[in-house]
Amino acid sequence: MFMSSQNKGETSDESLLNRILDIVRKEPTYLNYWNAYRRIKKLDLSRLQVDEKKKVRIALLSSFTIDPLAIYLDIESRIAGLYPEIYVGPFNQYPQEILNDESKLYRFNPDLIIIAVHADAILEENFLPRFPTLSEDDKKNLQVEIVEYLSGLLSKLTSKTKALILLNNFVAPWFSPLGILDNKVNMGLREFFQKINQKLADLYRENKQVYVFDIDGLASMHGKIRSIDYEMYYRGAFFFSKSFLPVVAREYMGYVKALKNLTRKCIVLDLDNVLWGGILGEKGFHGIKLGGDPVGRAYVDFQRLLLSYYNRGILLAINSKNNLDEAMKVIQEHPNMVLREKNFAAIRINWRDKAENMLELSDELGIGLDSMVFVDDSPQERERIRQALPEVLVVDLPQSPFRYCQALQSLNDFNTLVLSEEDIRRGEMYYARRKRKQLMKTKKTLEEFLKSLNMTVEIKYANRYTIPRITSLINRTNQFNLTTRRYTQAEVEEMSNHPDKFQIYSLRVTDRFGDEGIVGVAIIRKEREKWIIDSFLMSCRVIGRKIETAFLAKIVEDAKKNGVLYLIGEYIPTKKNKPASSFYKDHGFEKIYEDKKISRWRLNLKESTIKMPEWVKMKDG
Amino acid sequence: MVNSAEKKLIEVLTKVLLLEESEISDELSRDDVEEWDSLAHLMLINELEETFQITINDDDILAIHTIGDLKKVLKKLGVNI
Repeated sequence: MFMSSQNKGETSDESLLNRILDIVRKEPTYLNYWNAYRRIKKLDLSRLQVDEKKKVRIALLSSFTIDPLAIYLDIESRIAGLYPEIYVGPFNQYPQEILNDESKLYRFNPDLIIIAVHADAILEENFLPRFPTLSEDDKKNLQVEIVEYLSGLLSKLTSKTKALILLNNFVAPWFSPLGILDNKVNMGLREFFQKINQKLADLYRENKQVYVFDIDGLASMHGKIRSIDYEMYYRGAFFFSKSFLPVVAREYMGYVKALKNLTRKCIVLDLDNVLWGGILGEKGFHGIKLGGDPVGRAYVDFQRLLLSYYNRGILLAINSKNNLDEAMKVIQEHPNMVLREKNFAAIRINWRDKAENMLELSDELGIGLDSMVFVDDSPQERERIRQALPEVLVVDLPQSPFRYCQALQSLNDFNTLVLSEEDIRRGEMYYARRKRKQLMKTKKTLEEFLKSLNMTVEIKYANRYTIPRITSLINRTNQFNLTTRRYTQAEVEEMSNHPDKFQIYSLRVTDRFGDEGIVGVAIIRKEREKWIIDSFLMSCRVIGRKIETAFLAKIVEDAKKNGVLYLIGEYIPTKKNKPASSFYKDHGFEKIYEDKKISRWRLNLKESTIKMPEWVKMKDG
Repeated sequence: MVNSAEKKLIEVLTKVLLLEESEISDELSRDDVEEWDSLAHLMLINELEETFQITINDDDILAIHTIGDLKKVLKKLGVNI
């Protein structure tokens, strides 16, 4: 070999790890997962320098043998670029593990806990033979018992750990001793379990820590009969068959990726043979396949699926080799197009290298390549992106458009643990941003442009509906943030409950292109004769529109109404908030104090005021 | 010469038990191989059943202690090794 033994150093563990994973990537059989898992376990990876953000600790608690799932989760996490530690609780001792404060589970300190309990472990052993003789009340009582048993364990668990908890629901049996009468009696066997599942889902709907994992739905998708292998069940208490294991693991990985922020945010699409059938340049506007015949209908359905992603906050963009005018005409005018121009956050239709286009799209949207998915029917283009930009997820689009939907549906990369109103409207906001840029090019002066936007600003006191968004802005905004003071949601709530001492404002902007949502926050600390601006911040996407001036003008107005003499502003410099450094100076405040860490600015409200910019319309909340 | 059934057996043994091909012998037993725990034993049986489309008797599963034992059971079930 070329490398001398002294040169191997730390990278050899990493490269060995990669070689082991490559075998699984190439041939993902259970035998290879098993082999990779056990080989990696024997490696000493403690020398690897691993980013804390890439580590994940997963605990599995189960009433059956769940080790095969640990194998899949370990290897899948590594393929996703993570460094997992997995703890498998002792066989069928999940209650002890949860109830004992000193258990190995708690010492392991997991980030994610999976609880997979089979109904057999909770119900008495003669449940099935007795089921046809049970009264409706008996059944209802049993359901309550089961739900209370699990929720009791979970409340203990949530009091002890901050980990994300996934609670498997129950696989409703496909068999019932009642046969065709199962849904004719008062609660058949299937309904018995379906109702428990519904109760569990309802119980944890609002819970931020516990997610009910729909193993029943997953087993239905896979085929309930195929999801268990009875040889392995009786020999070793395995519940997931070999064919079902990867399906279960993939679904769990959706949560792992969401937890570790490995979420994809944007689908970048080719046009010919992706959004419609045929090459536009050859077939022309009327010749492409879109709607009508079977193939054309498949493309329409694919667009509908993409639109459903768009409506939950996934951005769509175009990266296509085509003539811009011809392609835009189809997007704007073709009667069967489902996606229209407004659904695309950014568009690159040209004859340039697609990798270059991808880089530009990433730049324009302000989204990392590791948040992008590339969909193209050409294997050459896919390979080009894979080689040039390995961070991009390239979808292996099947040959037949009939299978396009399924290929996209099976990705588990779009998950987030919460979905805000802002997330859902993200696509709309990006489109508006693009339109604003286009408009700006047509206007001679900034002022003319700002006037033509027809902006409306709505400034309101914080309330329970806006506090989550306000908290998220307080903690995420870096650039136009005067003091960069971070507060938890509880702290924000506390302040907003004391209007004698604090005033928290939120600012929402709407213009002719759409609603930006809440993009500004200010926190005022009230003293007898002066108001101190404790925090003042604006999302960077509205900077440059003088909205900050409108915001400050509103605060001045309120202060005057309350008979306040001075408004005090503070600026705490950080590495990132240079754009806000001259804010108070630009608005006529005089500097009254300055050291390395902070400067203080004062506006005498008897002598000065701040004029509302004439292009902003105020809407009081 | 190694026939295709033998090749498959070797692949399963090396991958499940983390062995080198040269380490495999009829005398090699569960006591010698650290990786040959009860999970690995079931894994081995399951993979071989699937590979050779056979069902191994559960008493035999418990009795298999060495590679030689395993081969005997496979031969009994008509696997050409």
